[in-house]
Amino acid sequence: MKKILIVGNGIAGLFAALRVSELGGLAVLVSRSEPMRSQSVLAAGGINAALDSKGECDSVEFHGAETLAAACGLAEKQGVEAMTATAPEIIEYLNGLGTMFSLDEDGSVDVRSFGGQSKKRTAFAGTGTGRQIMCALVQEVQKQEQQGRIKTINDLQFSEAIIEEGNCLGGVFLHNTIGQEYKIYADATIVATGGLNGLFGNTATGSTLSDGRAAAALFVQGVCFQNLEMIQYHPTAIKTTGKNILISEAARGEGGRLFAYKHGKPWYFMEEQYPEKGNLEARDIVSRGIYRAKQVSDDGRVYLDISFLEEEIISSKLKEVKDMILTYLGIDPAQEPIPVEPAVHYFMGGIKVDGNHESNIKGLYAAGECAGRYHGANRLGGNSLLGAAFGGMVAGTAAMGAPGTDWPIKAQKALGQLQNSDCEQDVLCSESVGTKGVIASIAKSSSKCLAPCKEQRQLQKTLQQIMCEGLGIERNERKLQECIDGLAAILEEARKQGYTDTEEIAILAIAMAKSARERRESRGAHFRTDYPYREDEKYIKSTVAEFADDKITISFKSVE
Amino acid sequence: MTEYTKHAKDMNMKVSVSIKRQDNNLAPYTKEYEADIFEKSTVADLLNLLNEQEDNPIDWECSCLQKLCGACAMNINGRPQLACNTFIENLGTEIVLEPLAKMEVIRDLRVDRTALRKQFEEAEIWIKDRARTNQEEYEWEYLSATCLRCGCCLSICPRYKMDENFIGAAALNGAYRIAVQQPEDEEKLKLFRKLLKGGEGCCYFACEDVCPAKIPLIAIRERLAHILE
Repeated sequence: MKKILIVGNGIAGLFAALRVSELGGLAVLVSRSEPMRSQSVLAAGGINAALDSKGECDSVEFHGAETLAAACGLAEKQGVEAMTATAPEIIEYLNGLGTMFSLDEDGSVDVRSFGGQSKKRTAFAGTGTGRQIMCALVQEVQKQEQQGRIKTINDLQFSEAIIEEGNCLGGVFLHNTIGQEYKIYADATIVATGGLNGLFGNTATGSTLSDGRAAAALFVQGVCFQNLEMIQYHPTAIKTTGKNILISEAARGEGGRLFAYKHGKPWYFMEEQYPEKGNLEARDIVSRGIYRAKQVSDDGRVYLDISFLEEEIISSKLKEVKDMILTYLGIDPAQEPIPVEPAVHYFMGGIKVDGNHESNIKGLYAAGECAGRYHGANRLGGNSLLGAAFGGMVAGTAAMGAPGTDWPIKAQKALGQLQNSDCEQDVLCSESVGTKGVIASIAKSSSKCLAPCKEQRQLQKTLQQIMCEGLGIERNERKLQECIDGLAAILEEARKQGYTDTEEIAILAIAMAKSARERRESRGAHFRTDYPYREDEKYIKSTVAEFADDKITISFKSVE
Repeated sequence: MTEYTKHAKDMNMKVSVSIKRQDNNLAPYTKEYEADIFEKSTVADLLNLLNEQEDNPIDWECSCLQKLCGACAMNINGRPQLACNTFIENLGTEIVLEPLAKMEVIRDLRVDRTALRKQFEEAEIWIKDRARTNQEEYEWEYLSATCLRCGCCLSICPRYKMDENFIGAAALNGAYRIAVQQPEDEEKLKLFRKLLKGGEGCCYFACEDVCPAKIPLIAIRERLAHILE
């Protein structure tokens, strides 16, 4: 039986595990936390599929075309079209697992408008789509686990991949709390570790667990990343004491309007500047609109107004939105407008993968937000859950079809060395992959808390501030250079102090800032005040970042 | 900027915090802290603030910081609740933080929820074939699926761990949804009848009172009982 190691248990990881199980393999699903803690549960608005149930002549081809248009030439056509073609099937599958999609009068899955799209094609489950999908997937995973096709381990933090001669043989993990190290060997490895929030701190809307450590470790090990500069700022977040909380695009989908006060009067800047799509323009356009409107408004703020909507809409379709604002801002959005601002929300770039979701390292696959494949320079609202689900499926299928590694021999060899070196062999987990000793503990337990010391945390905070300044909504050569210089100093300090995590994060952060510096044009989410136009002749290309011999290289490659 | 973050200094509160801490396998001890914190802050903010000065950081589980993931459930002033959704101004100046009761402590405020997962496994909370949609039950099913799997309901339940046949509110809440979605799965309904019986005889309904997702657990259990009649 093939054993596929899957790292991360959000939607992409669970889809991959279920696919592996369906194809007769054993999925070893490893994460640092339970699936209900993954960022997927935060996805509010919905998942796109051209179900064409509203008589609007929508089609999977048109869904593909709009996805590609938003990507501004940086997403590969075949891959996107395969994703949009599979979308209705994915909805059907999730429906069958018991996902509580909102239904229309006929009892079929309802769809609504969402940013950047001209048709109603976003299926949703109230305003808690991600959580409702996760509930159904977690159930299904538990069923498969009962039948012995999936083994979940929820307390291991990914440290690095086991790579030999360009092949990935598995991963090294650190136990969350006891500090013990484990190696897991597998026929193929799929990473689904989410976005890079940790590079930006609590200004990002996502989970604190999506800290980018796994991605940074892989980058340092030679895994190629692409389009790192493409960061989606969600237009509407509220600033709370803990972090920026996202207000779903559903608020605008249901009719919510953005405005700023100018000379004492409300100015509906999006509707004035973009009469066609108005408040529902693509996210990069709305975010820049808000960013600029704030600079000229009377009080330096922009507001989202849903107070004029029918009470019925607010209390049913926007119930959780209202509750969130009331809880964390003390404002009732049915009575008064909500002060909003753009916030780091999604990383379109990520691990460079091919059509099978395989990286430049053989046997190492990536899916979900950590992979950069379907969204190019900008992602449509409702396409992230779809990309995660589809990516997980493709990676799971491909990993099962891959020739496999000669891990048994290598694992035996590694184990032999372990036994000789007086290390405890793990018995707790060995049943998890069937073969005794495939998971080997390679270090003795220590009971120290693994949280970084306060000096290290302070250094990370400084790194996050530098990133927020350099890679904001509007960028330029000077700001990016300052950012790179600042990061270099952080890197040096992290190395001096032996803070490995921070060192790796700093290297990935520098690669991100350099990617943004090298793209001397404006495209999608990447806006340069010094190069405000799109330069198709030069830049319909992906930035590819690579780390080798202690050196970061940024190159431009054709989109594939 | 919001009203909340543009606060005046006089909106700060001085609080004393005692935290039950525990390292692996060692006896728990209480550590006292003092903090000066904005009254609209949450307990999650408080823990971050304390950890800024703490050489041996207080371990607690955190993910979403917006009451959607259930990670930070802990006992706050004796009541199981989410740290990210419990506000300092509602707690008074003496704050006591402990790990969820009746759960195995991993370290400090972090607990092992394997026991909760086992209850879902025992109750077979999954779809055998294909879920049916049922417009009439939709709202209730939706609410039941908002379960965070945080463990607050088990932690507060007086019967949990006192009686080995007892299955808690979280699993029965899931059972309701499965019973609606797969009414033809007789075998499973039979299992649910048995579990429901095992859950009888209580109850103060403290589970519903503490549920951070505000799931109407009592009504859902009644609906389940009705379906199983």
